[in-house]
Amino acid sequence: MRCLILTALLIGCHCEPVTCQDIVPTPQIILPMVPAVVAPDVPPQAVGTLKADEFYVIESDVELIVRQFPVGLIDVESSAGPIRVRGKFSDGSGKVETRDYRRGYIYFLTAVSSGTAGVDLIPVGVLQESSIIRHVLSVDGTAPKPPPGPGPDPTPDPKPPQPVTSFRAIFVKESGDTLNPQQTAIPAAKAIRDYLIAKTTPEGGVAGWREYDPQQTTTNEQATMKALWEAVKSKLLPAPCLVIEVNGHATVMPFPANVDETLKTLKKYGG
Amino acid sequence: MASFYKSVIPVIETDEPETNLSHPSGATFGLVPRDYSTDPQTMFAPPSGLKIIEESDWDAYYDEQEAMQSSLEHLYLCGPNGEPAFKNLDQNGDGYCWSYSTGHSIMLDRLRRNLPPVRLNPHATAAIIKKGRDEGGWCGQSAKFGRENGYAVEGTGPGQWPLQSRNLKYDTPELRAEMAKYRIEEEWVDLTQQLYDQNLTKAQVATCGLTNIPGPGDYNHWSHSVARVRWVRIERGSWGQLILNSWPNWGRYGLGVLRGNKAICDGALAIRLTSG
Repeated sequence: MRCLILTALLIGCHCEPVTCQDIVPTPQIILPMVPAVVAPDVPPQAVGTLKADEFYVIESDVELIVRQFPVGLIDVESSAGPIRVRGKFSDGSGKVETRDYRRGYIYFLTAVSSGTAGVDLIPVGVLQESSIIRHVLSVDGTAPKPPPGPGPDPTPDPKPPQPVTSFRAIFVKESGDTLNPQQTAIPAAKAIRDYLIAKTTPEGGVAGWREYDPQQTTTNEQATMKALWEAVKSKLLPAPCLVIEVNGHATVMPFPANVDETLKTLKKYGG
Repeated sequence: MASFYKSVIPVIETDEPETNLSHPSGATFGLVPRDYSTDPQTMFAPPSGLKIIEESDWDAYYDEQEAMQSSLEHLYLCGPNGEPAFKNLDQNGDGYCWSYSTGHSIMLDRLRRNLPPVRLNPHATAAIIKKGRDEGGWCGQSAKFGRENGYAVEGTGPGQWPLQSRNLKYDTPELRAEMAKYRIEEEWVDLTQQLYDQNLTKAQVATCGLTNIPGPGDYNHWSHSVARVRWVRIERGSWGQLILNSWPNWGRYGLGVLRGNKAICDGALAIRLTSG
């Protein structure tokens, strides 16, 4: 019931499911809400703004791919829940608070630059497009003026590494292109395959990596890989190139020069 | 006496007489050489975009594949103790080799791309083309059908084609819808257009074999069509075509090597891209 109410609320406040089909139950995905302080019959709305010093926190009981468009306005990091967080929140009072998030998958959105960003929340393994939640955020990436007095701590604590909860790779090669021997061996080399099988997020028993042509059709593909390809295919570099997705954030990069470089790159992202 | 590639994969030699290896008892073939009057050169995309790997560079590509275990041969034999990723298909007494060679090639392309594995049934393609008759053909016929209609999945469920059946009652709208999921997507290259001389054809076939592009190959001397897997170095300076056959219990998990003149195919296609 809660998820149905949530869906209805989202329709009324810049959040729009991609389609109206809703056959399977929508997973519980919770966005920050603006408290209903004026009239009790006005439903709360999802927060539509994100400031530079705030966390926009999305809780979910299923793993999500968080896709943004255009890319670059928002930084997305994920963490396994429950988790305790201290900071300013987009649905908060404007002051630093400590909060507990109890669901299994927590996503922290922070502003990188200013503009209007669309965000799709795609449950991993999604079967229905209606399970995908689309939300629009007005992002203010302008850093706030420092308060009077001493400046910021010159040695802030480094951001702790986030656990990798989803990891996929797509090697994009033009079919029929003849690359040099070293690049031809990517990604078929046993060391790469073994790593990808061990580390990437499987779906339906198939490891989360592919070799695609730039014009690859994914009509029959598994839902997550299909969604990832749809998200990145318009942003590809000239083939060959490499796409790595970690925790719902996809990065397109030049194709590695050889097997060793491929493994270094993959391990940098996937651990 | 037969020789072996890597000690276990049998080699069909140029000058050896017909043996049980190339013509085992009970084996069926089915290749009918391409008729250029009905299947003209222009029916396929030309190979002009294929950047040839010169023969002087074959060793470098082959050595890298061996060092990295990155060839289609390695991908096919990636199971425990060198077992295959899938059991080779069986044309089972019908003259449908020309459809199995293409079906195997699609499966190898999916293997290379790590697409979810699927077991295709080339009997459906051949039976539909030949209207249920047990007739020979050439690989271009099945590949053209695969590009336009796709390939059926083996099975008895809705939209599937039972193993080795020629019964056209299974050609239903559900079957066609399922077949369309496994199509040859991108234009493919006819490697043996008559425009090109035999040396260039050999170079094209070798290039595909060294870059993990599978494809069906027709061999008139054998009256047989098989999937081309890899261009292999049998010994220093001696190269051959690693093929995947559609006969059960043949070679090494269906693999064998054609050497010398027997490695020169008379009709070949490169399956560059299949449906994801």
